[in-house]
Amino acid sequence: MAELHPSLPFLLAGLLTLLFGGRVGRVLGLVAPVVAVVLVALLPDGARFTMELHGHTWVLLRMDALSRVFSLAFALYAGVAGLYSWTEEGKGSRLASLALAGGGVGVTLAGDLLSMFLFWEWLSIGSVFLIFAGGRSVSRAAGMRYVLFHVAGGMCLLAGILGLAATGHSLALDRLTLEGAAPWLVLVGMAANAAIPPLHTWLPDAYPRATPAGTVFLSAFTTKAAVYALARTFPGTDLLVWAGAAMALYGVVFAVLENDIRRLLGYHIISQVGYMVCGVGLGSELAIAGASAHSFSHIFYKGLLMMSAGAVVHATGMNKLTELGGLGRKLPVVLVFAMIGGFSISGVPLFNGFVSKSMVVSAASVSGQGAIELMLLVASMGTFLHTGLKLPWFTFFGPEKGPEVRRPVPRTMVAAMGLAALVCMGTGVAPGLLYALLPGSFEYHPYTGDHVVQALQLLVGTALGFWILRGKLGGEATVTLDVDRTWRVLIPAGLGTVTAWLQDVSDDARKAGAAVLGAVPQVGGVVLEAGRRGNLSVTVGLVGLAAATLALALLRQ
Amino acid sequence: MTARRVTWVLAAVLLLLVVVEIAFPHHAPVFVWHHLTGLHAIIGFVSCVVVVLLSKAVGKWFLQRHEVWDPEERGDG
Repeated sequence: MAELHPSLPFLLAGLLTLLFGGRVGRVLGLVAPVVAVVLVALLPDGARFTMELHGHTWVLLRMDALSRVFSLAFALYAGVAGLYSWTEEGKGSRLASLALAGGGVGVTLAGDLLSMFLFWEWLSIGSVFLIFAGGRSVSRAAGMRYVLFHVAGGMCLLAGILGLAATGHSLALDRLTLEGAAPWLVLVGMAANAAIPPLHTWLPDAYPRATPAGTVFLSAFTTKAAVYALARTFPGTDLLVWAGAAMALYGVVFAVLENDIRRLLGYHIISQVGYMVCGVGLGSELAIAGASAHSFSHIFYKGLLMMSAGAVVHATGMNKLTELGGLGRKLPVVLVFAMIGGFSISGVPLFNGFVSKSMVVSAASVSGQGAIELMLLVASMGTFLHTGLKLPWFTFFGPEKGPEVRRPVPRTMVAAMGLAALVCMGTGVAPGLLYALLPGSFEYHPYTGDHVVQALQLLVGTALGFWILRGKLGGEATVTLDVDRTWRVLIPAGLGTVTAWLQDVSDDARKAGAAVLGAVPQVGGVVLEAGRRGNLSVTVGLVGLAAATLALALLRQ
Repeated sequence: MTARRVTWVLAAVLLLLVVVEIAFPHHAPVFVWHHLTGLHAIIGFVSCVVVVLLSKAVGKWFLQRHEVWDPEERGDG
């Protein structure tokens, strides 16, 4: 049994779901993760699965501590999310979630860049169909934008890998140095999946548009797989230290302005992944262990927060702070789990965020990065402000705006939230369970007197600020201008102008008797219009072509 | 408990935590601010106020728009 690849159970479960339908897939969605966890646990350090094909040695699996902690987190979480999605109908979303989990596990086990890319795309395809499964027109539109982002990012990554191969560089999934265009392209491709601003908008755009269970799956895999890939290829890269700290704060600022509860949590994924990217950039053994630990913690506490937000959406059909309020008495169990998730992400002692986030902050301090330490502390304040205070206050307490519980929260959703909460509290109370899985040799004790008192000061100080300013923190029915306004509003408006101009040129040419010449701008106008209206094949083709051309131009220099 | 009383209770707990920190100084100070008692209380409270007021001001001035990007989801970007 130990000779099987842990992504294989997900692949087989997907094929069987395709053949026998969603009801079988529902059970297999629980069985596959359990088998994958067993396989990961049985594979010894140093295990390798290789395959010779087209003159390349594909290293489909290379097991070590870093791969183990990420793949174990993915496989375990896939089981919890599978339970949460038990009542969700539909073969499509079941298939997509199995693909997502299998791809994620594959990325964290691959031993060479091409094998990683294979699983990377497998993961992206699963994500896209999970967003489409949201079933609304906004889901399809957000899914389209997701496709475009990840086609462009994937093309950059592939071009970078091929560029490395062309210059005789090893394709082993190991440390790269930023010399020449190829490693930069690899970095940009990975940064897009890690949602490092300004390449982040796909995340808060797409995740709230999936079904509640779809969002629960989506929140775990893509960004953390990218963190893993960055930890393999660019540890100790200064640029990532600053990018990570900046994204930790970026998510906080936008979360202040956000009204949709799942979109707010989406911005906090960006903020929390900032800690991990920062840890990768710091590059010390403590920092890499901290980034790994925080990824593990994040998968479960963010999953728990998304599950509780999804339960609210499921029960009330509402997702905006301006519509919610006073649900604590109607959904008390969901409130308890939302608070456990909120305390975990905020780094409250005895919860898992406390034992993992502080490793990265301490690593920054030990590395002499004072400004980074302070930026991460401010981001910690913002995390508690939004997910530990603002979100629960305006959803479960605060002024009641009359949301009705239209249908009960299924027991399977409650059980899944219970399991995630167990992991959050279990590893928070006994951090040794988590630390035993981490790579590298480091010494870190989270429960020292000074550390606990400092954490409590930060939390109570934030609570005091929130209480005084709570009147200013309610949701507002506005859209928040992020960089995606460029292609969601400005570029379509510009394309509309260009299309109209091309049509005029075509009409003038026809009037002048040059019908063939006039057809050229008309065809150009039709293609641009198709792109503007979001025709999938045309827009993907245009973006793919543009990304490939740019990548090749860079590589030829 | 009235809103005003909650404010006072939180302020009192915060003050207590600052006093308690005197017994637990930073165990491995690196920077000068690691010697400051109550630094985390100040960061928590002051940065909370600054981030909320600054974000809201930038939101009003520039970032928050009454636009409809997706007709199906009014006010949701």
